[in-house]
Amino acid sequence: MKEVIIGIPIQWYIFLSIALFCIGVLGVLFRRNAIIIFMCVELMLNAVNLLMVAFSRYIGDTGGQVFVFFVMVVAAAEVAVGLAILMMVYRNIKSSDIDKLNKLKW
Amino acid sequence: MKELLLLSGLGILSLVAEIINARKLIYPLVIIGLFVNIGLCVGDLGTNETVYGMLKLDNSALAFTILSSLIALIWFIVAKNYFSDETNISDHFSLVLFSLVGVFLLASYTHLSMLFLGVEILSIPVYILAGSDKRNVYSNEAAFKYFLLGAFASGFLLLGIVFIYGGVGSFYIAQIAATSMLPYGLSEPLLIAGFLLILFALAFKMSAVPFHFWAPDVYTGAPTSITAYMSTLVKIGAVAGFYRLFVGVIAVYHNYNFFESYTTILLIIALLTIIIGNVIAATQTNIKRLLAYSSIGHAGFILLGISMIRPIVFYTVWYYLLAYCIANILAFWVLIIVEKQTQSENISAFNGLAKRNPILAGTMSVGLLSMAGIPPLGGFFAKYFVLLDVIGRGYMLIAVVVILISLIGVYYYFKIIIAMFAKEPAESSTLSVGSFTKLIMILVSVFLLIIGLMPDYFLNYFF
Repeated sequence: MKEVIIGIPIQWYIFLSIALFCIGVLGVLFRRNAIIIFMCVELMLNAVNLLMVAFSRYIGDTGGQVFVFFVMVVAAAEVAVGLAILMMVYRNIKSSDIDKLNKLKW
Repeated sequence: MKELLLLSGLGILSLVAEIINARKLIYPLVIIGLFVNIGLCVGDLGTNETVYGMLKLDNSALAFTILSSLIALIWFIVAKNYFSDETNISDHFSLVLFSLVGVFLLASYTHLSMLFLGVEILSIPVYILAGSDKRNVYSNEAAFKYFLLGAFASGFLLLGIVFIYGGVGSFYIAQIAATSMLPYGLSEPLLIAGFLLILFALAFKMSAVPFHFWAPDVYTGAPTSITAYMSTLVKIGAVAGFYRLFVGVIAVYHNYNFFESYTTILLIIALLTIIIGNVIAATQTNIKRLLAYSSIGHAGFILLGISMIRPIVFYTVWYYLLAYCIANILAFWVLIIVEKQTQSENISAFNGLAKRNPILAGTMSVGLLSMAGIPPLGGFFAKYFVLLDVIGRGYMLIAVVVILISLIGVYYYFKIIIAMFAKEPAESSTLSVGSFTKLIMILVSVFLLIIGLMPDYFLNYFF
């Protein structure tokens, strides 16, 4: 099993990560529910995490793997703040549909 | 290292102060702390201290830190009422201080993880601050939009960083600069994608076209004091972060094929930002929105300054930020006072301000004239230095276009000045402000004049 994993070329990881990242981007752009959008942002960050670890292993430098922990911590902080903001919005407009937030226009 | 500890310490202290019932002490402590921070930075000039190889406090990093501390100092005086209106002020103090830590990291990183952490530490507190007017739907919407798009942009920043890591094999700026020239397997496409993604993410943070759509909405929706903070300190952070990457890597190898086209892309973004920011600002009647679009235009000027950087000349960006931030914060200061009194953000709220309070009208005029680029205020020389670089590099046409566009800027800034001086006030009562506020306003205005009259004194000190 170990040989199989080591044998996977780096390109595959790049393709997988970019596919995951694009799913995240499309989700943020096209979904209308705020919670789903948060999940898609998380998907983007985790796609990057995967790529970071793959590169780190490929290059033989542990820096990338340590970076992943920073990213996880920041992602957790971001979601904590984001959900708090969403709660605040929900109390005022009683909905998590982002199309209802259209007061600010020029 | 001392500066980092001081700023984070102040942030933690103001969190704890709520518990130990020392609320009254926070404000003076923060002001003193920021003064001490400026002092520490001045003392460190020329030492090139490195912090575990992650940060390097060279002169440009210290110059940006001094700038951010100075602007934060003025901001704390400007936003005094914002804090006295709130019940849980210590949270707000600590959020502002933590985001200053982010600016410090962005100004001094040498490792890309610190770029990412700096951007996040700078932004996450500001997401909360933008929504700090909890019952106001506009403030909610501003916070939500800013958060969503900010998190989206930081995803792209991260992807850019990981691509550069894959292409070069290191997160260190110096190593990226050294190895980005060598042939290295699949490195080049990754490197190109990485640098472009980082450019887009940071252009988002400094609200450059075509990533500016959030800025007017968020600036209008957020409480005005926080808008003042966002349009100055967040911009300093983003510019400092991008500046460091540009000076460290791209300006060093500016003849390298890809970096040459990269500079061209930056130039196009800068020009679009100047044009769109100024043209749309001319159509606005809400003054917060007008200042938001004008700040987009100024971001364009700063990017134009960055794109002209060669390893030898790079004081223009710092000087432009200094002049812009002080002028902008003066304008917002008057806006906060007028808005509180008239409950309106329209230009008509400023009608006849000169009759109601000449000092407020004078301060606002100084700020606006500096932003419009009228000599001898700081803003004129800021624009002059950037254009001097542009002409020096032989882009005559760009210089002419930029000067013409700045004339639109003169038009909309004068719209406000004419409203203040020529129109009749809606109500004749005087608008009084405290004598301390007056004193600081005059001092800051004079400072803006001084940096215009003796720019070389400030620049020789750092560069």
